[in-house]
Amino acid sequence: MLFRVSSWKENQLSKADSDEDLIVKVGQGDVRAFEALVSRYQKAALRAARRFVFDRQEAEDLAQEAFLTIFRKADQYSSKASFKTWFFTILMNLCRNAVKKKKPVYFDTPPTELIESTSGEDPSSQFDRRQIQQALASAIAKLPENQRAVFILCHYENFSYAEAAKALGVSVKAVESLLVRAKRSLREDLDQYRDR
Amino acid sequence: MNYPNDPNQNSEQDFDRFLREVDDFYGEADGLKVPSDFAARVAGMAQAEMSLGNMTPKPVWSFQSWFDDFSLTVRVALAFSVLLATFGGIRAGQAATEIISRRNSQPAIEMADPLGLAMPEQSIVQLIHRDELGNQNRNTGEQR
Repeated sequence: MLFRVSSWKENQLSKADSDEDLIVKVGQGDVRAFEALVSRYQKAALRAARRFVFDRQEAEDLAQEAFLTIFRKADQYSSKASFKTWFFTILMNLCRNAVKKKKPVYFDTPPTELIESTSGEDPSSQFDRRQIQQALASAIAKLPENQRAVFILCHYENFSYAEAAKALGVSVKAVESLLVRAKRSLREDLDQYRDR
Repeated sequence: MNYPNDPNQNSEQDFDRFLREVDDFYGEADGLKVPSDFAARVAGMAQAEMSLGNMTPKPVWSFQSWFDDFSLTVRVALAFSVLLATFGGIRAGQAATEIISRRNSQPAIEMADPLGLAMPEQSIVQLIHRDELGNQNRNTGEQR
């Protein structure tokens, strides 16, 4: 029988551990390394998923599924791509599939959490904010999936064009073009709110 | 692409700034905060999956576990065939060795020497004999 004997020192996780080091440990069945990775990426994952599907619970489910997928496939991770790119590839695929199954989302009322966040302000500016938030959410929801994915990755998650291209499996040129089209469409929808 | 004096570029930057400002209250809204137990919950699910055996760490291949996967009959048959092959191999090896050694130990066939000639004389006689044979063949060829 063969056993892998790991020392106490080897089992310690430090903040200096790179994502790639952690995912290798996850591939060996290290759940603590997995939890460390989840802690690092949970905010970005939930944020991106939330902006893609516009539903808090669904976004949580999608982020959770993306994390569990990397746990299951950790031994297939290839260091050719960065962990961030690999993770967002999985997350974006899950989000796109979820959106395909759903009917288009239209926002007649702003999401509750946005109203809560703006409490304490004077009513008129609160109303303006709500309106802009609603308009932005609605404009993003109207974008085709690929434009939405590029916009979320490049604008909100600060992905470079090359990283976004890798994550979405398209060329850098295609990312540039999708981003231009996404912004053009958002601008058309939001222009009326810009001078307020 | 950045063009320093491009008015479209400026308006694009303005629009980006506008989006970021909108994002300041949209992105950091309470609803987007991560639930405090999210990481622990996901890790717990992963742990549960692993203990259920849905995801097992890559097993190290061992002959014993591979052999144990077969039924008793197959295991007996496998063991028997391995033994048979081993004995067969040994027996075949022995037979081959025997043949080779027998061939090597065969005494050299010595030419009968009715005239009682020494070795140099024998070779001279053989040369003469060959020469005669050659002449005979040439003659018969010319006659034809």
